[in-house]
Amino acid sequence: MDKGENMENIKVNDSSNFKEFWYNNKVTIISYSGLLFCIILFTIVTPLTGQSIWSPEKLSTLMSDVIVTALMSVGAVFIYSLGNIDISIGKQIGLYSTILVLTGNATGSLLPGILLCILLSIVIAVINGASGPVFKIISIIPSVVVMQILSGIIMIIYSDLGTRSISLKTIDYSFFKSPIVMVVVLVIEIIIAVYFFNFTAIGKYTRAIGANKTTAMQSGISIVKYRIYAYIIAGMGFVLAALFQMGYTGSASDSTGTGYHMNVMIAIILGGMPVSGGMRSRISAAVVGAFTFSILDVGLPLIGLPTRMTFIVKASIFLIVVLLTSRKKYGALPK
Amino acid sequence: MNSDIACMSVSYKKNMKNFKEDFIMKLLGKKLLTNVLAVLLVLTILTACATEDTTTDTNTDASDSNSQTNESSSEESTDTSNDETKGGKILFLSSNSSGAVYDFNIAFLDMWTAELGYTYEIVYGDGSNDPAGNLQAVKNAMTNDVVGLIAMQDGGISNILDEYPDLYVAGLATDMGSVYGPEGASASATTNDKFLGTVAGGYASGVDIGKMYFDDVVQKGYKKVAVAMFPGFAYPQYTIADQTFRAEVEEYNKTADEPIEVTGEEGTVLMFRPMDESFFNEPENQDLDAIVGLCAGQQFIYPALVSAIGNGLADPDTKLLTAGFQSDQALIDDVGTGIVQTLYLPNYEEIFFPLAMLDNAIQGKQYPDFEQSEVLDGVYITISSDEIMTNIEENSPIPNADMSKLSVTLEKGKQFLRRYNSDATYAELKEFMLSDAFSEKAYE
Repeated sequence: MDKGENMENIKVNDSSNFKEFWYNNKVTIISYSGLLFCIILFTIVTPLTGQSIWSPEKLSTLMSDVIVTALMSVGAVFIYSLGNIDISIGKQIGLYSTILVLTGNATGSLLPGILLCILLSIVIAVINGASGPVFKIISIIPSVVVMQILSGIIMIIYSDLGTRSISLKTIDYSFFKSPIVMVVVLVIEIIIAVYFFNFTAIGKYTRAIGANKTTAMQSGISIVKYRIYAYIIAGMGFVLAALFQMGYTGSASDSTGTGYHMNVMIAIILGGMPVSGGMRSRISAAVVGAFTFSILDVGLPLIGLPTRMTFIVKASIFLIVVLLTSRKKYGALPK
Repeated sequence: MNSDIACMSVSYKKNMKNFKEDFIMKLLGKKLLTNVLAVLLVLTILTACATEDTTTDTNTDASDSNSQTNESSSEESTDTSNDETKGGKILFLSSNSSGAVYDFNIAFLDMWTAELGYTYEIVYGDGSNDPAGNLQAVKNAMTNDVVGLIAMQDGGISNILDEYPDLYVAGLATDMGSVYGPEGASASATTNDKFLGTVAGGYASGVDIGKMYFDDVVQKGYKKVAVAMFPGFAYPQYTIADQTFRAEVEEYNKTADEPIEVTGEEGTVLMFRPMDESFFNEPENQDLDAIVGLCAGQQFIYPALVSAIGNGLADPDTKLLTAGFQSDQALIDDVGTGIVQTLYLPNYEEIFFPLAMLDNAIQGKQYPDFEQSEVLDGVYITISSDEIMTNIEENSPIPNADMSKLSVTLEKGKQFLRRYNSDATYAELKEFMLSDAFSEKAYE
């Protein structure tokens, strides 16, 4: 083999390595690039309109916009990694927020409410996580049932109260409005979630179940057990999100949390995670997706885009990202 | 031979490799081109929007359509306005994103903000009036030139005031139950001097609403009536209106020769969904003379009633007394002569109230007699005949947002703005807001 052929082989190998790297990390790179693009764009353009995305007020707005979605989405990654979708997330947030306000006003402390919400979230996690495989039904069905039950409970509560919204009377909730607190709590949640997701059997097995349930089962993984674990961890994230949702205004209403399951889905898909779950699931998808969506919420009005146009632009960007990250190799259907 | 085959094999492999590389590069090239074009598209949209003055186009349209009104007032505005006039952006927290009232509000704001030197931005409130949703909508739209907020929703008002202590806020077409209601979530707003009050979409008090419908039922001589309403947790005043209506009927029946029957113990609750036709299967709802609709009845009751009449489930003479307005021509034609015998329509022009309150406050020229915010009753346009409906169609801006047909013209409105009339008082504004300038009589 002469020198020329060696060089050619090296080039081919470099090209193959790059292609392999691109193939393995394409989705991550595109998702991160999307967020980076938004940051750069708004950093450059907003000063032209006399605004700044980096002003303390706007950073605070960004954090308050992103915190609930991010906290929910990080938890929901455990559910999505199973290949499941939880429709009841929004109503869980609504009920937990309501409970936090009611118990807060009744006892003068948020602690009883938090404990009650954790207890409830475990019960809901068991129902959502176990009923699919136990009753041999599609996993989304239990969450639809739970959503309807929670909607009914919320409606009864507010009908009895005779109002659409309730607020904390004596408890100071300003703690939850601090952007620094939001950042710290989110970082802590991410660290814990990453630990469970990447370094414990729970995370590995949930991904394995999402990748191939039959193989996972034949490998001795208890599907029901790890599904319940995944839903419980997600439930903790939802309780945390409800705490910040309630703490944002110190109030809850009959519509709190409505549509939040869609926000979670958008964040996770925008972050580049396959809806089918499996081994490509990752916590960072939830964070990147949530921040990308929120930075559009905050940044687009700053560059002079009318509010009614932001939905279209956000939808367009979502579509572009989905086309780039979630297309099948052959065919046009999402993964 | 073997060496030839080996050579051919190597050559074939090389060719295939070259072909594959070319193919992949072409594919990558196409993908790359697609991605670059997509990014360019987004950039173009964004930069185009960034340079667009969002209010100019609409203002121009409005100015064109109202050139006479604007021209007649321009001289006056030049004469009376001083150099210290403050501008800025007014946010409009809208509870809807389409329909007659939405079109009207946009046209009205186009005209008035251009005249007063403001810009405005529509912000879509949370679909269910959730406090956090409303607050976040306002926060996202907030820029450093925002000076005021007109809110059609009350969820999170106190939070918005807390978040932006320098922002003036006034309400429109809402009784702000969370502010003025018992133990309301935004009760703290009542004592906030940046909160300038609100004008309700009709009567703020459920008692007044109940009495209004009772008077109408008696006047029209209906003897068997059902009540349908939006849920009380969302509209507490409707629960009170239902109770008042029944109490008034009970009192009336004590001396009446022919008593009025009101079906059920309480009004049928419509959970923000149109009435179900099964309502007319209930034995007590047979042979009704009328339905009192404490809701947007043209949208939520009328279709079911028409269908029930068509199917023989309801008496063909069953009528509807209700509120709200749908600009569909068939519905317009029906009002006063068909099924809808009376339509109570809060006048869209009451948007003048929050605009006047904001302008005075922003200019630092608050009414001397304004002490604390309050909820004002809105004046209903009562449409109870074909003639009145025709007047509204032809002479009012309600159906098509034609600003040349305003009752509250620029000239008339300026009398209540202290930048133009330093003698204007809050008492006069209140009196004006309750006058026939907002009733059906304004469009005769």
